[in-house]
Amino acid sequence: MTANGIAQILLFFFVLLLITKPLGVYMARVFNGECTFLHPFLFPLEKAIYKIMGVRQEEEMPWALYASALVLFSLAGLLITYLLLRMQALFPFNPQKYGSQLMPPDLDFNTAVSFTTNTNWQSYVPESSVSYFSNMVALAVHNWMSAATGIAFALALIRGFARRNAHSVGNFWVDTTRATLYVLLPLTLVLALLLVWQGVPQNFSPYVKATTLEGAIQTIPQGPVASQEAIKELGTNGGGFFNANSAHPYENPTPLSNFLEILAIFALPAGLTYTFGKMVGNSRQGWALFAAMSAMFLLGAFVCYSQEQRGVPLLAKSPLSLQLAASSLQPGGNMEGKEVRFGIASTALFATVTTDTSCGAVNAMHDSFTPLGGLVPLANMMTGEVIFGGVGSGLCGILVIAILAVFIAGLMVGRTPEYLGKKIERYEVTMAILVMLIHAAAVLGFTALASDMKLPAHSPWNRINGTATYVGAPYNNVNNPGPHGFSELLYAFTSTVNNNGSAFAGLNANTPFYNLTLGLAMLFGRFLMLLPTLAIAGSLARKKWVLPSAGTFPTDSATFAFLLVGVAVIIGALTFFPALALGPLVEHFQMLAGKLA
Amino acid sequence: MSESDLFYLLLTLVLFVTFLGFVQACERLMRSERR
Repeated sequence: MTANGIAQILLFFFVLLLITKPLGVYMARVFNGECTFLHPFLFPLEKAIYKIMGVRQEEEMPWALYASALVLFSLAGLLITYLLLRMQALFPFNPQKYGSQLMPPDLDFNTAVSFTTNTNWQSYVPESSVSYFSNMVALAVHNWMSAATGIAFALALIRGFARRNAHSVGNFWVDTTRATLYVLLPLTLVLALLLVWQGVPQNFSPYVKATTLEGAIQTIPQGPVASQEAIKELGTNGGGFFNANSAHPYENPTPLSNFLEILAIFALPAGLTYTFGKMVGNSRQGWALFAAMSAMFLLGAFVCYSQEQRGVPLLAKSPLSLQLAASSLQPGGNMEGKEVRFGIASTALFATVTTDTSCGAVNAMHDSFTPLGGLVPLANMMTGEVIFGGVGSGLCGILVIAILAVFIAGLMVGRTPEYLGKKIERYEVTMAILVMLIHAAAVLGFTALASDMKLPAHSPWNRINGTATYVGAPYNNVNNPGPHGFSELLYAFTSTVNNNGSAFAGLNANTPFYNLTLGLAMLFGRFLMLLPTLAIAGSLARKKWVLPSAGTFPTDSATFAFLLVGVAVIIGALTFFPALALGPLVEHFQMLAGKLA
Repeated sequence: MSESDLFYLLLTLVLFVTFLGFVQACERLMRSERR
């Protein structure tokens, strides 16, 4: 590692620390219905939205109604997106005249599910199959809605902890409206303008044809990139305007834009930890969660960076005798798949941040990382996206881990576990375990299915869309044999179940089989993990508050943060270690033994 | 609208009805626990 690289990671963490409290305080004010500096401009709009929608602001919902509203809202969004993509040829803002033949039904299903669930897995190539209209109306709208839904989800759980003897957890429509208007809208506007300043395009122009120095014709795509880019990061969505995502110079042109994008990914999930502390009446509770998340984040960032900076030792021993140490002339390490303008530290930081959260944007190809460097993004996702996590969903994930942590601590000392004055009983632990089991079963089950399923050589289920190529068994879709190929499959299902959406690259997933299974993985990962968590919120809200006693385990301490990290790591390690051993770990030892091609 | 469209739309509806059923099942379990 170089001093410059370490300084970049520490500077990022320092700036994150600086913005966490102001953002957290602001969001707490917004969601408690208090006045903020934006209310004079936005409150009339908020009132108008409620009037049009027929929402009564003061009417609160029990958890089951709140959950049902969330499910039905997502269903409506999914169906509308599917139909808009199927009929994109009929709509304006389509200078390239893209039709539905480029987006067959299985791909539309996958894409609609992907954006509805905040995953933004992209089996399609955005710049050569989706019109500006589809991008803005069908897809980018979900970047707002799915992020707002995630925040609403977190608010319901926070209220579950904060309220006593209550039968409601808030109003879903009010929470999503406020999250969109007061949080996502202003931040997106500011970030989009900063990105435009850095050189990101924002226009509706047709693609430009340029003649290269060799005389070849090159098509240069453009469009309303900056606006989508901003919400892509802030909403931890991750779906790029271009296929290369944030590695594309029009999405992420400079080191400063790169820094802003990484910061935007972490900003709201970090701020929500403080909001949590504020809303439950003890900001130290929020800082304890922040500390646990930060410890896991920094560990991942430095492991990933050290592995990438170390590079592949075989290359130093090869006849080329490549220099792996950084010097004033070159960065050393492993630069394959990375952008020169970002370098190794910023790339490792981006990869860690995007997989700690459920963002999934990439500024490099994770498939080209060293085996242990690539293991870090995988392991981050395998924790269940609790290291800051998705906007809202990350906070809920760590709170589920917290419930298990106090349960384990309670077992150790033989007392009924409590968290924030609420007794954690059988129902909450059952639901928390259900979340863990669904997560593990979905990731490992779908990976096993794709690894071992037999399909006839000419099965239409595994024909690459837009071609006449039949691939046969799903395992044939990976580009690399052996453990790296297995990592490609494991990464795809880990990413989709956790609603991350980043791709390892190296897996040709645009076939009906993968579009269907990855779509199901996204839906199971979103709703079957979210609904039991909301049930926990409902159950906790109904409970009375218990006064802390001498036997109460303090949950605003460094010991609790340490226990939280331990539980998250142990659950992840016990569940996924065998799968990791078959993929990146075997590959690492093969690399050290000089057995890689 | 093709057969594939119908398949994916029906699948979506079935899944979301299942999710709503899951909500009800969680609620019922909660009530039985509280008794």
